[in-house]
Amino acid sequence: MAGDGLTPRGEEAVKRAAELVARYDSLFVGVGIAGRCAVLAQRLNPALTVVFESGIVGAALSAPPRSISDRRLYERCRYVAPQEEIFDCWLGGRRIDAAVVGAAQVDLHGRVNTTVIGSYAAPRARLTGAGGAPEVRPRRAAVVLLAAANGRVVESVDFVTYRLPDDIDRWLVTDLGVWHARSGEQRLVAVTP
Amino acid sequence: MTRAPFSVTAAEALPNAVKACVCSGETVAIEGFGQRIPFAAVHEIIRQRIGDLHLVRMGVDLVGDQLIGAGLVSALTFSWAGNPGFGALRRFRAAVERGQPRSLTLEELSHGSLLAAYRAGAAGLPFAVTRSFLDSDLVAHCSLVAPIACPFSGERLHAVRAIRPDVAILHAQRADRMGNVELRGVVGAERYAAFAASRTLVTVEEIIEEITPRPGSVFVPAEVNTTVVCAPRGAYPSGVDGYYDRDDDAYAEWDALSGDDARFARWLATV
Repeated sequence: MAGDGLTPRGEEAVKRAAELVARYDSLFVGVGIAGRCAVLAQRLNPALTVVFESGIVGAALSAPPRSISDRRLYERCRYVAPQEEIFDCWLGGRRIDAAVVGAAQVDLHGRVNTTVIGSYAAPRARLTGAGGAPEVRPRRAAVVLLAAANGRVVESVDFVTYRLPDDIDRWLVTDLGVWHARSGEQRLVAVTP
Repeated sequence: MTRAPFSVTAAEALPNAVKACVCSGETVAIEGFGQRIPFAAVHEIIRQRIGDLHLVRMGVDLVGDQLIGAGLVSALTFSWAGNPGFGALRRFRAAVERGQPRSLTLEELSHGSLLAAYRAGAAGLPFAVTRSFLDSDLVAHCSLVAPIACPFSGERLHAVRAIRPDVAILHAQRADRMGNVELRGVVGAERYAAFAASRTLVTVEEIIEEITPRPGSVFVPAEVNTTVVCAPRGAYPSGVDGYYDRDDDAYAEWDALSGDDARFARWLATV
């Protein structure tokens, strides 16, 4: 399943991302590796309201979800909202403090690529596409989590699927270290030994 | 609007319902987000080789991969294409990267904007408004998205053209004899797709005389449902809340099968 088979450094990245998002009150969780991060974050902060684009609000996570429509998610949550409530009200209305998402490729300008490697018309690798990530505009912080950086952090992404807001804390957490950016300022804050 | 008489045995009713509701060359919305995915109806489309379809689907998962792999899709409006929990869709990638078995015209949105486009379609509006495409390269590649300015503040926004499918296909828990459909669990685009479409085909786990609404359930009213067919386990291997859970092994199996051309060809011949 998604997130299985991580290297020790990958595990460390998930843990660091969890520590970053656990300090907030509400968290939007993307697919795959983000679910694993959310489980750890909620262990650190049991009051963390966890929201998924499938409509789940206030999930009580015991294990990483198999998918974001996992029955175990909506059987143990505060409520299941119609999806338009998540996109329009929680995300569009900026009711979420922080978000954690995965990506195929990112750059240090806050641009995220989940669409194609290579050109759009003739891609070398076709990726899954945007999903709900372009709707995610958290109030305070966004974490992009890559368990294996492995050439995926680049000078300029092949395709800008979406761009994270400039006026919030943007964290890029990988198996190599942690990068922070906000309003034009950016720095490396941790290196994984 | 004409309504076909309901049948209680899927084996005989579903082929006729699909034949009556879905035509080659049409725009077909298939919804159900991770759950209640109308696999049985889609497999019937594949058996009847109803092709040249414009498929509209937020999360293009196994059903989309199967239709695309069968060569029945010529255009795809979507916002995500993956095997939930397992990664890439092999047949979708083959079509986009290598034109196998045929190339696809892509109209690519985000989940929120595609859902909004269905709602605009259902409401009879020309477009929805979104902030999702600021600084996104998707705008340059999608004919459904155009920049606009807020008439009040001048804010930069995007319009997303309304989606009005020829037919919407859904799966739900229950229907009554009048054709009212009750669904629950993860609910999103399906009811708006139904209201936006010219016709709607719904498969359900069971048809009962009269439904007493359950708390938290959502209705797709008889007024928008053209045909309702009883198709027990019609969403398998996805899950239906209250009936059966997703079969994770089948999703894993699709990952292996769909990546092997010979195995996929055998699957297609026997679906």
